[in-house]
Amino acid sequence: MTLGVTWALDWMRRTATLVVAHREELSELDRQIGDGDHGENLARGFTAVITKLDEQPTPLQHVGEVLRIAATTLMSTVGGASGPLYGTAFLRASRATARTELDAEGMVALLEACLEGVRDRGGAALGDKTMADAWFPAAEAAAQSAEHGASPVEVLRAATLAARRGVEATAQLAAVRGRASFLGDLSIGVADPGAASTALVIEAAHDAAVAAVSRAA
Amino acid sequence: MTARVGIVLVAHAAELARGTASVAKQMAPDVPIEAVGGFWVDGLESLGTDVDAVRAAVSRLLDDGRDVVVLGDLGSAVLTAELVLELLDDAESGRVRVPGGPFVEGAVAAAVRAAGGAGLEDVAAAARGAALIWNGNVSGAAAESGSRVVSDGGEDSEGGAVSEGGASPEDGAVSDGGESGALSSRVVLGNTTGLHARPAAILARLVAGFDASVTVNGAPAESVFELMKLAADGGAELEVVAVGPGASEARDAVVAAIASGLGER
Repeated sequence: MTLGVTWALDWMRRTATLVVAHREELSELDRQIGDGDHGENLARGFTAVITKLDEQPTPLQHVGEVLRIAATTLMSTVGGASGPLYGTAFLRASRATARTELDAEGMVALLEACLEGVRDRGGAALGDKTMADAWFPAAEAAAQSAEHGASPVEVLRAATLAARRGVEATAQLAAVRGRASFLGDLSIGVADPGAASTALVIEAAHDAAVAAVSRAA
Repeated sequence: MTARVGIVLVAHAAELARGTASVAKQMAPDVPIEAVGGFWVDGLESLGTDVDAVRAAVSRLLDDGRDVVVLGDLGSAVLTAELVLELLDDAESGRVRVPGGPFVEGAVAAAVRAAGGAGLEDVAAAARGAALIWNGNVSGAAAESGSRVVSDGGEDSEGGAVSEGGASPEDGAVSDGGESGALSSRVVLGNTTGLHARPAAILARLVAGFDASVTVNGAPAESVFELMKLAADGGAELEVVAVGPGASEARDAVVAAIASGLGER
C-alpha cells in the first residue's frame, strides 16, 4: 500500500478541518505565552490552501505538487511566524516527494524534510519549546517504525503519537525562541501552540491515510 | 552621494514600520526606505508580517539597482525576511542581507551609512552594530543628566541628545595621535543642544563624502552612534583628526560644519 496525490489532498482537507475545529484552543495556548493569534492565523491559512487546491485547473499528479501549493499559500496567508515555518516545511517536503506514490520510506522522507525546513527557518533546537519539538519526535518515530517494516499508515500513526508526546513535553520547557522567549520561565506550564498545531497536521496525515486504506479495501 | 543600498523595514504593525522609516529618513532623506508593516486581510490590518509584501518591496529596490538590507522588528519579521531571501534567485539574494539588529537604532544606523554611499556589507554591519549603543551606559547618562533636550522647530528631541560632559569614547575609536599625515584641529561646537542625533547624522553624512578617515574626540565621524556617545554639549571643544588623501579638505569641512552648529543654533 502506498499513498499518493489523493491522500495528499485529503490530508490538507483534514488538516484544515482539524485546525479550524481547534482554532480556539490553539489561540488560547498562544494567548498565554505568545500573541494569541496562532489558531486564527492557521485557520485562515489552511482554509486558503483548500480554496487554492480547489481552484487548480487541471488535476494535480504528485504529492509534491499539493505540498508546494500548500507551502506558497501558507506563506502568503498566515501572517505570523508559523506561515514561513509551515511554508518552508512543506516546500522542503514537496521537493522530497516529487514522485507519484509514497511508501513508508517516502513518508519518513516527507516528515524529515518538514523537520529540516522548520529547523532551518527558525533555527530551533530540540527542547527550545517550538514546533520542532513535535516534528522531531514525529520524524524519529516514523523512521524507527519504517525500519521495522511498518506500512505508511503505521508510520504516520507512530509519528502522530510521538508528536503528541512532544507537545506534552513542551509544557515543561521554558521558551527560548519567538515571542514566548520574553516570558522565559513564565512560559513553563503551557504547551507550545506551534507544537500543538504540528501534532494536528500530522494527525490529519494519519487520518487521511486510514481513510485511503479503507477506500482501497 | 547616491545611496547604493536601500532598506526594507518589516514590522508587525504598519504604524511601526512607517514611523521607524520616518525617523530614519529624517537623518538620511535620500536613502530609499520601504516600510512594510502588518498583515492585511480584506483591507483590514492585523498584526503580523506579510511575505509577499516584503518580497515586493525587496524586488522594487533591486529592480531600481540598489542592494538591499532588510530589518525586522521581532523574530518572526526576521524569519519572514529570511524566507524572502530564500525565495529570490541566487543573483538577487546575493544583493540582499538580513543582518539582524535593533529595529529603530539599526534602521537609523543603516540609513545614515547608506546615505554616505556605503556598500551592502557596511550598511548591514551598521545595522547589526547598532545594538552596541546600549553598552555605553547611555540610559544611565540620560538618567543622571535629567535635563531636557530642546531642539528647534518644536520637533521631538529624543534619543542621544544627552548633555553630560566627559563621557569618554571607550571603543572603536580610530587612533589618531601619532599617525603620520594626520591633520588635527580643535573647534568649538557651535550649537546649544549638543551633538545629538540630528547634528551627528549631518556630520556623518558630511564625512562620508571625503576620501579620508575622520575622528571627533576619537570617535569615528562616519558613525552617528559613536558621535552621539561622545555626549558633547553645545559649546564643547572638540578635536577633529583627519587621515587620508582627502584629509585636509575633510578636516576643514568638518571644522567649519561643527563651528557653524551643524544646522542648528
